[in-house]
Amino acid sequence: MDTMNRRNFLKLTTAATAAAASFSAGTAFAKDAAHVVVIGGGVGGATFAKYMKMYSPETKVTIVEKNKEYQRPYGSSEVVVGRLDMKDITISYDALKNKHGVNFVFDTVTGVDYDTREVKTAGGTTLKYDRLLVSPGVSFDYSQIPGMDSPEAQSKIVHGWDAGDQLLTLQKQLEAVPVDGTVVLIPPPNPYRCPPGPYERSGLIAQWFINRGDKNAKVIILDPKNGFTVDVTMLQAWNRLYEFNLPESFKGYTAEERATFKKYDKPGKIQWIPAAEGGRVVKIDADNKTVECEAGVFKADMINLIPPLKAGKIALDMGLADKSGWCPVDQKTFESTIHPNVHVIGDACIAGQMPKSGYAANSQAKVAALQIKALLAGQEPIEPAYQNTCYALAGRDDYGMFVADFFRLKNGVITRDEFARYLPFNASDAQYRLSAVYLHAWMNSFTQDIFS
Amino acid sequence: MKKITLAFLLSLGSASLAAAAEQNAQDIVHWTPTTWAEAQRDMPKGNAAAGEKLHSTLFCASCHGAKGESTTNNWPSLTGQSVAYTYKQLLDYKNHVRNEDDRSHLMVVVAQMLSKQDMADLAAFYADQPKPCPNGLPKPAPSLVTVGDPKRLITPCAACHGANGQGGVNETTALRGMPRDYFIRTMNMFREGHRNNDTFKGMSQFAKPLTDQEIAMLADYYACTEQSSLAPQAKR
Repeated sequence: MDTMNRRNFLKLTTAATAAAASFSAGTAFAKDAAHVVVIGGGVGGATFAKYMKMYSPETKVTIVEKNKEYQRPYGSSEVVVGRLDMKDITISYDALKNKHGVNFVFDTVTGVDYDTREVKTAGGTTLKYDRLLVSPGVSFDYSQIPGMDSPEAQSKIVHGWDAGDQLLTLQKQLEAVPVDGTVVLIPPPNPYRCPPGPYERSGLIAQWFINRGDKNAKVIILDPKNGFTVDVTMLQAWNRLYEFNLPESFKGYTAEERATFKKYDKPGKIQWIPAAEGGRVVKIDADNKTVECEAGVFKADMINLIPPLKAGKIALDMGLADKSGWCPVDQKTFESTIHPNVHVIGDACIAGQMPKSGYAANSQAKVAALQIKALLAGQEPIEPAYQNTCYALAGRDDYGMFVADFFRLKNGVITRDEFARYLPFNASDAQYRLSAVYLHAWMNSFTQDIFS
Repeated sequence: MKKITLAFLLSLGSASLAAAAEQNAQDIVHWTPTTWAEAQRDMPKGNAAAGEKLHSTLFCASCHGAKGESTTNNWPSLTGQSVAYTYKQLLDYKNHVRNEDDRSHLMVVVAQMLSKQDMADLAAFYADQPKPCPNGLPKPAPSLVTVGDPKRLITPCAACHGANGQGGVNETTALRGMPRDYFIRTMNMFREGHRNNDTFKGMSQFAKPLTDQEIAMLADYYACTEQSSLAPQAKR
């Protein structure tokens, strides 16, 4: 959205406020009860609302969300390969409403007035807030990839990186890949949502080919990066499972570790071409399914492009992002450094060394709830701690891995504690298997933590 | 770790992850006093150092604490449990005798990877750790603990679980320092019959007549949050 549009977006409320009846859903609350309005009912917004009500039952909390049910993006690549249905990743807001007393307005935000502290929706609702929390997720930026700037190209080549029907599109495209076919998967540059995700999806697809008895079908990853979260565990797994040849340029292993890798005569079921070996994509032809990268031209039967990411559109419209496309915040309270009384959490915010993940958004939401409780009471914010774990599958359902981190605030920046983050290089088979068990258990308990 | 690798190879592969934790009710063999006595005679001698290694490599610490001393309200402390108790619970998970909810489902899957020696090693390690709640339980003890309720045929808790909640001579749970939420959840599971690995309903018959308030009161008592060095957030 350009500057003009953004100004209109921000002005809209001021013009409309006088006429609009103010929102009166929470009549059970005392008149002076604080009201926190949450924009976005994803992992960040939903966790925040639940924990805000648990930490401070007297505070009124209202989520504005356009969808009546939530589709979880975490773990949703399992839909692409048919291990899960859409109903398996669809979650009700009923417990937040009925058990935790969170108000919902199912509507689209059309404007905000930071002076009068009002949010306006398309349906004509005006919400007055004491604190506003924005958890908008991500939006996708195709402008840097020649050939992908038209809606037509974007309908043929989808990302499937924000749940929704695109997952089913990818599922159908995968089923249509002929025997011995080729899938080209293009991960985004840093920073992006779910760092191990593109690689897990690559493994899931390679395994899906094996499961259908396809010996020669392959996944080619064309990467603008030279490494990724959990790479040392993932590449080792692929070498064992998918005849994956380790790129010469990869620097993540010691010489001894590298010597344990098998070398295959021909490219296996997964090939990874990092930036150092020409993986950066320069052009995509959506009609002919060809991808040109610095290393050459690849003809594909299916292309899965996850384009560069930015903060969710609503955050851009609200003027909460800086030039990077992400939202700068005070990393202790997640209060926007651009607009006071507005907090931004989750993928959209700049949170030091924390990755953009559902787990991180959940952890940030709990910190934000404690901080907003303190701020509403006129108290000092607490000294926060944060955590993140990302689980991933190598492809096969019993070969898992993870990265686990703890963070603290150091000089105003969320900083990782230095501990071993990954499984050791010589982990046991039981540990890979248990990691997969933990991944599936985490999906359940994490979803319960947010929505039950 | 050789044993574990072997268990892994022998297991049924990827599709078994979910299936591993499901078994037909009629195939589950519950204990009798005789079979349990045999199982104990059959128990290998545990090695605490090997148990500590398993505790780390099988990620037990991520829920149960660095040495098995739970620091959250949700997961049971394993420190202070007798060798017999831990060994029996792990056997029960492995044999699907204990599988009361999603949380135990996870343990059922983990237990499939354990040999009897592994289980004995883990049991020896946890029994070796300092007991939780070093200053003892609050005083005075509730009358349910010391005299029970003869009118409802409730035996005093202390009769089996010890005057100091230290557990019985045999496989009875040590309750001292048990996190509150886990205690309440477990009692509800016994009351509703979801958990039934107690030989001859030794626990569930007493859990059934208890009220919610009584269970909460006992949970507070055994959690001994005032004296314990457990999770400060558990202080009330």
